[in-house]
Amino acid sequence: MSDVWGDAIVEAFRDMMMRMAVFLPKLLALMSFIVLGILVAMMTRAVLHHLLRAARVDVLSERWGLQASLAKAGIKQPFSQVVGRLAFWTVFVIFVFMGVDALGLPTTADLMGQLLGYLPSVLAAGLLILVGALLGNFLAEATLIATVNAQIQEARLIAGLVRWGIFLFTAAMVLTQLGIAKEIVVAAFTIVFGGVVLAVAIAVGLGGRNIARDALERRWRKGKEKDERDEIAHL
Amino acid sequence: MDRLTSNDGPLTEPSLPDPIPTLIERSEPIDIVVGVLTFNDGATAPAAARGLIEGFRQYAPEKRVLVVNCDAGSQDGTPDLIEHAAGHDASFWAVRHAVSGSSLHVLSESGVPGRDAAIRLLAAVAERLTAKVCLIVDGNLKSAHPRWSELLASPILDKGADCVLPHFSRNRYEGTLTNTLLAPLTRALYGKRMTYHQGGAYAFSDRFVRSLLLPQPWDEEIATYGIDGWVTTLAAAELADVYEAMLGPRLRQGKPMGDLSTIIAQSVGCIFHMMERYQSTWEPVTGSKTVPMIGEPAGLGEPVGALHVDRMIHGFQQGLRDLVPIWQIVLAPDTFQQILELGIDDADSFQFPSSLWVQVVYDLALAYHDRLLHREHLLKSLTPLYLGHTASLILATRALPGKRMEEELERVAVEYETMKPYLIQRWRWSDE
Repeated sequence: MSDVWGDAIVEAFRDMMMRMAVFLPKLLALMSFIVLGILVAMMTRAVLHHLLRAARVDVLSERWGLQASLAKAGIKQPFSQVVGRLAFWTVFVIFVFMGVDALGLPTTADLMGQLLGYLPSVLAAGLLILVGALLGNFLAEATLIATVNAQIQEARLIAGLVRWGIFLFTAAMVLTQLGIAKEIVVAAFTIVFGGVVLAVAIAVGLGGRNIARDALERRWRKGKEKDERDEIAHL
Repeated sequence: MDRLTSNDGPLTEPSLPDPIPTLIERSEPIDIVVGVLTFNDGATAPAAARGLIEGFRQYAPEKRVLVVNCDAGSQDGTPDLIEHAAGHDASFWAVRHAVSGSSLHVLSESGVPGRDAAIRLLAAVAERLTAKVCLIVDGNLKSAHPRWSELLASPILDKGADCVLPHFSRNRYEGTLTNTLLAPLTRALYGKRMTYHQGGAYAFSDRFVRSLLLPQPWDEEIATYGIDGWVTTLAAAELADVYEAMLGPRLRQGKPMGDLSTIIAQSVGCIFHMMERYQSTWEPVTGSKTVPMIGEPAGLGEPVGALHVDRMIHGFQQGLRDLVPIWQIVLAPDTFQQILELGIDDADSFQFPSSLWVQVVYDLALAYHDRLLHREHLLKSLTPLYLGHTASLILATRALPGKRMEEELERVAVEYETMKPYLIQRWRWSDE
């Protein structure tokens, strides 16, 4: 009786120790990956930050209005710092995935592979969102100022159309990039875009004949008025 | 008296197009280089060049004059026509200057593409030939007169000046942007009461060319802001002995190019850009002094043509309606509030106080410095505000005699000087 009891305890202890002996190196590997990930991510962030600063990316982003658009979105840091931070988290997450993979858990093995395979698409989609948002705001602002200075009454409407046109186009590209209901997105975009064009064509051709005529008349008159306006030399 | 220091350091030599290097090697010593900037100006440039040659024959017959036509690629045979007009009374060189992509999309108000490259080329030629004076005129001027030769060159040759800038006689509301912003802002910043008339005609001494003009970066920024504003601001900001020559009216073939917002972005942007470069120069300056003048001064002439004040007010109203989110970013809260309160109920009694206008300009200079918005957008958003202030100025002065109008402009200029501490305080605060 006591032998059986003793064997059971020893067996259980041996199993436990063996499992620990197998698992502990994996846990150590995970922790090593996390520490290494932090170090590599910090190095990547620092190198990228310095490279971008050396390439005067911050100055260029301010000149192109990217910085102002980021500020509007609540991001106050310089563009190089934002990119550096993104790079930090990307590298860190990759190392964490590698660490979790090293644990050898059957339930996470496939998930990690899938996530890593999907990562380039997510990064590309994130980049598309950033560029789309910046471009949309920048061009809308430029359009608003230009149309106001040209004294076009529908300035805000035109600027809004530019902004939301670019946002719509970006959204379609992002969803396609992520592979989410590709066919539906393409079809929806085609329908919306085609619908807008058709609506404008019908509005101008049928419903808005008078408006179109007025607009053309105004435009023709503006040509004459421009000559009059130029009578004062401003410089 | 302000003097330029000699700069004997190595200069960045621009590459001179053929056959200029060969011509320079073979050239006899030259005293005065007359540069004529042209682009399809066959109708006016030959007469302008001829007039200047005649002027030098009368004023300084012993001086050796070289006429250099810098052409941007005329299709009407302008260089040949100028050569024919110059005859044998002066040496003549024709050169086609480079027109880069950046120069093309920012056609200067003068209508000569690559104007910055042309002026750099002329400065380099004058420097290589060790000419004492480099005189530059626009080929599209109908009002160039033989007397201009003396007016532009004599301050340098006889009085040791470094730079002679043009001062054209104007009608009452001509040059409102210059009179209400460019000139008074420059005066308040650098302490020189210059009329800030850009383009048309300049004269530079050999010292100015060697120490200031040629060492400029000559990058895309000069092309973007326009070389005329750049040179004028340079003359104001540097320790240069500047004169103004009263050249009479400025009559041009064709109309000035560019829409109002582009003109504002170029000219105002140039001064704002230079403010960053010359911060240590303008900060301690208080008050201002007149710049010596040569020639007969002329007061403001009567306004010519119809003034469309209603359209200006309409432009301001639309800005007030649509550009509020942008003005909210670039203007100080107090300034923004005052702009909102202006409103317009009765167009005839509309008033845009000069003090508020100066505050707007200083706020924009600070917003430009702090890069609160894309700089071109920021500068162009000034257009409706400028229209509002101009409309208010016209409404307030159109019934008054010309003398009172001059007094009103002087009042605006004094306002810039009085409010300069506001600019300095906020500028320093933003740098901290």
